[in-house]
Amino acid sequence: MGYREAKETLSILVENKRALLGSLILLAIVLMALIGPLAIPLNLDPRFDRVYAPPSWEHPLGCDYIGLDILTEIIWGARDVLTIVVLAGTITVVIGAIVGLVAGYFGGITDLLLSSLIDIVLTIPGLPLVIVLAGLTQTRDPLSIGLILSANSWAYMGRSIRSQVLSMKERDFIEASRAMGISKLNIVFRDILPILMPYVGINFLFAIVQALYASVALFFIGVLPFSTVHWGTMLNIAMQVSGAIFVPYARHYVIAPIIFIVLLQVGLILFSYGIEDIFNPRLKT
Amino acid sequence: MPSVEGCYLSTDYLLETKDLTVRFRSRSAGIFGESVLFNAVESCDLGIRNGEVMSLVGESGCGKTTLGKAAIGLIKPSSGNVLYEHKDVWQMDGKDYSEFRRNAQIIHQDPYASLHPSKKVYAIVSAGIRYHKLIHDEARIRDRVSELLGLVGLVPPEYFKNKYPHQLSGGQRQRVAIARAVSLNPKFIVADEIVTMIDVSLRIDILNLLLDLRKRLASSFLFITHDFGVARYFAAEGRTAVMYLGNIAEIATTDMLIKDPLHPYTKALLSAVPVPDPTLAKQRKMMELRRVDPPDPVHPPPGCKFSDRCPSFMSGKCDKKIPDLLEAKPQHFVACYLYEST
Amino acid sequence: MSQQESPTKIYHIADLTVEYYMRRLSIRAVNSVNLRIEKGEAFGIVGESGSGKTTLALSLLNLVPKPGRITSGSIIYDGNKDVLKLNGNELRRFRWEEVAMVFQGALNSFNPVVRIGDQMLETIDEHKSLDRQEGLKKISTLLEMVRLDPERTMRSFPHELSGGMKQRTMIAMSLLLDPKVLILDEPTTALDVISQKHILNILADLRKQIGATIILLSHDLAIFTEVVERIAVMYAGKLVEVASMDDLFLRPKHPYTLGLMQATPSVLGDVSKLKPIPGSPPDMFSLPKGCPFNPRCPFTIDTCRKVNPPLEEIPGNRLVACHRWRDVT
Repeated sequence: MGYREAKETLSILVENKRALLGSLILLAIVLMALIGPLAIPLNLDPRFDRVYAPPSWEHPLGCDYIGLDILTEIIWGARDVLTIVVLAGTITVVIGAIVGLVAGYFGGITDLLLSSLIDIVLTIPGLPLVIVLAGLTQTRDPLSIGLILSANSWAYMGRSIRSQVLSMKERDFIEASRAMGISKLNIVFRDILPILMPYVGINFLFAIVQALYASVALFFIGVLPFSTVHWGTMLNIAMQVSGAIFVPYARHYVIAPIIFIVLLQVGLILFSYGIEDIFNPRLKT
Repeated sequence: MPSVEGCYLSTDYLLETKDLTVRFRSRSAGIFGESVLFNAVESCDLGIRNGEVMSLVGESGCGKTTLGKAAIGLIKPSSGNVLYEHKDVWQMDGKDYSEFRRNAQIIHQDPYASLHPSKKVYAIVSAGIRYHKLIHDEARIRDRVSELLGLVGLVPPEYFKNKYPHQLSGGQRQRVAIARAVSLNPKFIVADEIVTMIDVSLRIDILNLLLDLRKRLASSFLFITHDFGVARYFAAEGRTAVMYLGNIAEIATTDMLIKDPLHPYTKALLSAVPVPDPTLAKQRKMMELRRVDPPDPVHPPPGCKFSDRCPSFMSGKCDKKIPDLLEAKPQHFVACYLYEST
Repeated sequence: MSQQESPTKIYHIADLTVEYYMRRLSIRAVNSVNLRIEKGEAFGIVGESGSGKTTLALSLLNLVPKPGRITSGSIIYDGNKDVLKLNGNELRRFRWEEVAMVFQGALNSFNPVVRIGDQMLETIDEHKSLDRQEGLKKISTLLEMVRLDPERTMRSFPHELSGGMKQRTMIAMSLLLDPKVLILDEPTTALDVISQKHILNILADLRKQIGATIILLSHDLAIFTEVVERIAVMYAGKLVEVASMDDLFLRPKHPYTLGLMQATPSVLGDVSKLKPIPGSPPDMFSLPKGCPFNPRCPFTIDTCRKVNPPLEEIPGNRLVACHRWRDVT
C-alpha cells in the first residue's frame, strides 16, 4: 500500500464513525500490549498485605489474591491474548480462503475432495474439539494454540467462500480473463480474491472474536497450562481459587478481565463496520 | 452432415464450426418443473474467413450467444468440432492452443458486468499483455495502454487510466472492454450484443469504432445481435446468418439476405422489424404465421423447429427431420425443404 | 391546439416539474412540461434513458416514487380532475379505473405461484363488484382481444407463458376495469421482433375496439410508426418536439429528433447516411446553460448557449423548442 492509498484508507475509516471508534479502541489495546510491558515491570512476588486491595491511585484496578497489581496483569496479559487470537484468526482465514477458492474455482475432483473434507470437519462440534485438542497437547506455544483454536472454524469460512466463488465464476469479467488465456490460479487469486476481500476481512475479525472467547474458555477451564497473566487465567483464578464472585470485596478481580475482554470484542466488531467501506472501490476517488 | 464444405474450399475459413451441438440442462421451469436436457445449439455449421465480418441474428434464447462462445472455445461442445486454422480446438497441443486462445477474444453485452469492479482501467487493459509477457518494460506497457485507449476514443488516456469502472459511463466502459479485447491483437473477435445496453444515439459511434479497428487489425468479427438493423449496419460488407432455436436457418451476404430472404423465418423477421419510415410502414404487413408465439425452447416441435409456425409447412416432410443447410443459390445457404431440390 | 380547456383533452399538463432529491443534490427529471393529449388519441413519447419520459408517465398517475417530488405544475384529467390533488381513495379509484399503466418490465410482476385466471379475478375483486360469472366473462373477452386463448391462459401459471404472451396478459389485466387511458412504458423492449409487431398490431386494434386513449413510451423510434398518431420527443427532462407521426419522421424540426433518426440503423435505407450524435448523454446533475442539447447540436449558435428555448407552436399544428428550427432539415 503506497502512501496515497494509506491516506485514502484512513480517510474512509474516519468517515465511518463506528469504525473510527472501533479502531481507536483497538489501537489503545494494541498500544497497551506493545508498550505497556516496556514501561511497567511485572513483579510476581506476592504482597500479602495487599490481598484484594480495592482500586486506588496506586493500583487503579486494585490487587489480586496475592496482592499483585491487577492493571499490570491486564497490561501484560494483553500481549498473550492478542498474539493468540490474531494468530488463530489469521490461520482460520488463510486456510479457509485457500480451500474455498481452490474448491470453488477448480471444481471436479478437487472440489469433491475438499468439500468432503469441509463437511467432515463441520460435523465435529467446535468447542469440544478445541478443548480436547488443547487438553491432549498441553502446549504453551501461541502458534500451536492458534492452530488448535482454528481447528474447526476454517471449515465454515471455506464453505461460504466456495459458494461465493461458484457464483462469481460465471461473471463476464472472469470469462474475459479466461478468454485472454489467463491461468486458473491467476484468476482465482488476482480476480476473484480481491472481490471477496471485504468478506475475508470481516470474517477475519469475527474469527478473532471467536478465538477470543474460545481461548478465554480454555484458560478459564484450566485445560491449558498456566500463564498467570492471561485474562482467561485471571478469570480462572478469580473464580476457582478465590471464589471471587462470592466474596464481595474481591469482585474487582473478576470484573477487570471481563471488562477488557468485552472491550476488545466491541472494538473488533465496531471496526468490522469499516471493513466493507475500505474495500469498496466506489468510495475511492 | 453436408455443409458448406463442397462449395468453397474449407481452407478459406479462419474459424469454423462443424456439426456443433451444445446441450444444456434447463433450469427447472417454474417451481415444480424438472430440469431437462435440450440443445441450445444444434448441428451448426458456420465458417468465418480471415478478415470477414459476420452478423449472427436471432431472438433471445435462440442460442446465438452459446454458439459465439463455443466458437471461441469458452464453452465445450457436446458434439461436433470447432476448427481454428483447420485444427480442432479441443484436440490441439499446448502451443497451438495458446495461440488460439490469444487470437480469439470476446466483448460482452453488459458493460456493467464485463469489467472487474475493483481494478483500474489501466490494470484491466494491461492484464492480458502482462500475463503473456508480450511486453516486458513497464514504461512500454504504459505506452501500449495509452495507445489502446486512444484507439477506442478514451482520450486523454492519462485521465482514463486511473479510473474505476463505476466512475465511467456505459459507453465508456464498453470502450474499455473493446480496448481489452484488442490488446492481444486477436485475429477473431466475438461481439455479443455489444450495443444493446447502450443508448440509441451512441450506438453507431461504437459500431463505427469497431469497424475502424477491424480495418486496422484485419480481424474477423462474429457480431451477435437480435436487432436486424444493427446487424445490417455492421456487416454491410459481409455476411449475415440467421439462427432459430439452436439451428442456423440461413446464411448469405447481408445484402442478399435482406433483399431476397429465402427461409420463411427470415422473411417473417424482416416483415416484423419496425422501420422508421411512416409511408413504408403503412405498406408493410407482417407475414401471417400459423402460431404467433414461439414454442418452449426446451420442447421444440419435431423436425424443423419452425414447422409449427411456418406458413409453408409441409406435413410429412417438415415435421420429420431437421433440414440440412444447403446452398440454394450461389453463396446463399438455407435450411428449408422448400429449396431441397436445388 | 387551442388554449382553452377543450372537452376533448383527456390530459392537460401545465408547467409540470418533477425533481428528485438525493442528499445535497437534486435533479429535474421533468422540466416545465406543457402538453395536451386528446381523448382517444394514440400518443407516443420517445426519449433515451434519462430523458424523463418514465417520470412524466408516472406523474400522470401521481405515482412518482420518493425521493421524487412534483414541485410545480398541474395535471388536469378530462377537463375537471386535478390528478395531483386527489386524495387517497379517489386516487386509488382513479388509478386502474380511469387510467391504467403497464410498467416497464411488467412481465416479471406476476405472482409465480398463482394461476393467471386467479390473479385477474383478484384484480377485479379488489376494485369492482362483479360477481364471479361476470368477472370470468370479462376476462375471457379481454384475453381474446389480445389474441390469447382464454381457457388455456387462465389455467396457466406465469412461467408457462412466453414473454410475448405475458405482456399481452398484462395488457388485458390493465383493461379489466375499463380504463379510459392506457399508458405503456417500453412494452416491447424485452420481446422478440415478431411478438413486438404482434403487440403493436393489437394495440392499434384495441384503440378501434374500445376507444381508449393510448400513451406509448419507448426509446426505439421505429416502433412509433406502427401505432401512434402524434409523438412527443423528450431530452434531459424537457419536451423538445411534439408533432404528428408523419411530420416528425418526414420533417423533423428539432436537431435531436433529426439526430436520433440519423443514428438509428434499420433494414431499409442507405447505410452510409447514418451518423452518431456526437458527445455524451446529458449529465442531469450539471446540465449546460441554455438549451440542454447545445453541446451535441450541429446547429448551435450563441443564443443556444444562453437561452433555453421554450416550446412554441409553429405552423403545421406542431410544437418545437429550438431557436433554429427553421434551419433543420
